[in-house]
Amino acid sequence: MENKNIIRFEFAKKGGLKYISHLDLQRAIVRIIKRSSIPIRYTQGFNPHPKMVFALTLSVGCESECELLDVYMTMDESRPNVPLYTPEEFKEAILPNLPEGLDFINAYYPSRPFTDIKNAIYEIAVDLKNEVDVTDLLSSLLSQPLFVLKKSKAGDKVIDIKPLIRDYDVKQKENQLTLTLTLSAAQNEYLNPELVITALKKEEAVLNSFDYYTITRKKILF
Amino acid sequence: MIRKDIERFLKDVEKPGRYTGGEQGETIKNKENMDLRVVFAFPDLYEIGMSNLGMKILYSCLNKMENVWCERTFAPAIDMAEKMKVNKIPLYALESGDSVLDFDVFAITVQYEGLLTNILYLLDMANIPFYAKDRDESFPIILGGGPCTYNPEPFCEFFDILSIGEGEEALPELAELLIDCKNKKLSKKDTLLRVATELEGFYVPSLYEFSYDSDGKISEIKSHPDAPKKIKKRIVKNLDDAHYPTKQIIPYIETVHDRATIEIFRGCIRGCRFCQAGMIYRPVRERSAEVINEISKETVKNCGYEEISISSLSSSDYTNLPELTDKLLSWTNDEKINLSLPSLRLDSFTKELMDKVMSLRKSGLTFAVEAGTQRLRDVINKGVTEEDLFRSITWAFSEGRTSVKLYFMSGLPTETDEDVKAIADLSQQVVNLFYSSPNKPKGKGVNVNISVSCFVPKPFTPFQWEAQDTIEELKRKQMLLKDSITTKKINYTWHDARVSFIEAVLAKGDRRLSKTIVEAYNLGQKFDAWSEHFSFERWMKAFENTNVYPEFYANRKMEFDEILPWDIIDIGVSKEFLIRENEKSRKEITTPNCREKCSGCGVVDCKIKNSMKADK
Repeated sequence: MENKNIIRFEFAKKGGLKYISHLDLQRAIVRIIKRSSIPIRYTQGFNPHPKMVFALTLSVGCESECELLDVYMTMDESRPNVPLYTPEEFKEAILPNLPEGLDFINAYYPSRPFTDIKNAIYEIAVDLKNEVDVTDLLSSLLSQPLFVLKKSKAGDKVIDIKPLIRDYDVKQKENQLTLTLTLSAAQNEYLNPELVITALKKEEAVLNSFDYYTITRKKILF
Repeated sequence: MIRKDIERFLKDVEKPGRYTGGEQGETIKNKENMDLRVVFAFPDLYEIGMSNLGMKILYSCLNKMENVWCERTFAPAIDMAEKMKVNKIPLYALESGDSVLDFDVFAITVQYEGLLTNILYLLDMANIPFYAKDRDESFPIILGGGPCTYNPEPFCEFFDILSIGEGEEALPELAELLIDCKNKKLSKKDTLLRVATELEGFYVPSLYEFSYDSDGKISEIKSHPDAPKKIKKRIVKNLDDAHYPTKQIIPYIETVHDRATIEIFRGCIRGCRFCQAGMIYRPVRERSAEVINEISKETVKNCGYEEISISSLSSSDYTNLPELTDKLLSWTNDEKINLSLPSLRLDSFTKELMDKVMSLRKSGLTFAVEAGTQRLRDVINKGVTEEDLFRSITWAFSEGRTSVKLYFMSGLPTETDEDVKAIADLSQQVVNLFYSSPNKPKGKGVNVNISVSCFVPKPFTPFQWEAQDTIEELKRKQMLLKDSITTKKINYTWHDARVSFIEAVLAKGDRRLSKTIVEAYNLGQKFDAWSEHFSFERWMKAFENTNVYPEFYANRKMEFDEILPWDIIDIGVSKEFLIRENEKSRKEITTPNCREKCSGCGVVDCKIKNSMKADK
């Protein structure tokens, strides 16, 4: 069901902006919203702050064509589901204030909560050090249990990430490799694409052939 | 524009957002159409430099000129510097990504002594020789400026030109002249001579020569016949007309001061005898409340800041601070903007003002007391009394505060052990004040934080001739104070005396120190201001290797008639005034603030002085 007091803002994060951390992006967007005079709702309490929620975090260095952000709008308490600000107004206000690399894609009333998110699709473009075909090797690695050391605050542990890899596709043209991965993005089961690269690079042949790579989040799937 | 060659490793360095540029509000121009390209460097990390108001102002002043493009660069952190070296990437400007070597002018702001080695770090990263004399026509003109350049001597040999004083008007003038020289294809030498002779406020070190006595003192300063004997600092006469950039670059990564900083006045009516800022920024020039309010509103609107910080020396000396805060509070509260008012003085702290500050934010309350006894506070002319302190603190406690911070200085001229111990007594009285306060918060203890720095004699202060206590003596006093504190309610921190010693040497030094700074850098010293990078041993080694006695500069009392390295600079305040103030300090006689009585410091264009004359 649509919640008309929330506007879901869909945007791309590209170029130099990909080096901005999630926290910094959050602050930047607050600034942009303030500059755009968009009537964002503030949290209650002694130190009120603007209320907004991101669908997923994105690692530093990754680009995205599909970031989702729910912006909570001020509302008339007596008429809770009558919108005071429309997605069209939102678009009009924010467009002139967006920096290069933070591109507007869409704004709308959300129909599904972020808790319904299941997967996300990533495209990983790899410069290979040579033209040796690695597609079979990668396909084979991605089709079996894939163990990797996962570092977390609770302690490091070795886990099998294969169950979180929903789908994969490997293409190679000369020394350009394109890896398309559909990874779990559900709550508590979020798989970072960097972790997949780390796991693959445990294989010496992969480590020796991978050079520079870029990761782009292509789509978030509910 | 982000350089392609750094992208290969940018993900692997800490805070890569420091190195990309592309923030909102940056100035991008077409380099083909430019008559002059300037890269402005802040020789510390991005997040430090991007907090600096001076840099924002000057960036905007230069970019207002159609034919000039000013870009930015900062000191890369050690991890980034290593990657840049390995990949043969020189220091570059964030806006265009172009190497510093491609610019006409490389401007470096020198904010404090702790950044001197970082000047060399930047030159090194840019592949530029350290000494001006070793650089041919192919290198950019290296321009210096900033608060540290009032005594530019210890590092002046690294620069072609030093801008002395405020830059808002001076830098565009310099840019015009450099463009003219460029069009006429003048050599660097001829260009520098034109700068020195045609403009006010620019010091060209290569046109001056210092000679020294056998005892190490300066015997003579010889200058080029056409160059001025003294370089007069530049000031902006009317702050309301001074350029303030209401459209600023908005960094993505969090900076140290992430807020709109609005300067309300320059200069200071107080004459604290240890304080360099109080002397070099004279005369006092206030910005009108209307203009402050307007630029605050506009900056917040343009940049989306959530905090405004009022900035000046001793903010409570602003003629009508309550009116100003009322004006600002009338809209900031509604727009959920925080207002902060640092630098309030104890004696001008009224209950009304206190209530305002209290209502603003729950941030800590800090009081600069500077010395433990009234005698010593009179010596340094810090016109603050115990009553002022106790009154303000009683208010603070009755408003529910349980923590205060007090600043002191140790090693001040004439300081005795009694003065040191008095810091503990005074702090203890503040603790007692809490427990005797009828309105104190129930069930809570008190925290009195005292921070004690070491006195560093600074050029252009009445104490410029004074000797700094030796490191051993400073340490002894620090421990004496530690032993004098008997309660855990007082939390005592002190500054590293060795850092203050190096600071004193670099503050009061002359040209002979440039080789020491080079040696220190070559030994690995950089980011001196960061305690984890500072190495006292390395500095002492550098002094030894270059045959420089640091004690000569830090611990020697200088004579009034001695030629001082910074005599080359004219800040407007006369040496006679400084001598008078020094002599009065010995007699423990205070000097009233400028609004009470003009003390004849020699500064011209002083509104306060002129209005007093008009009254008569």
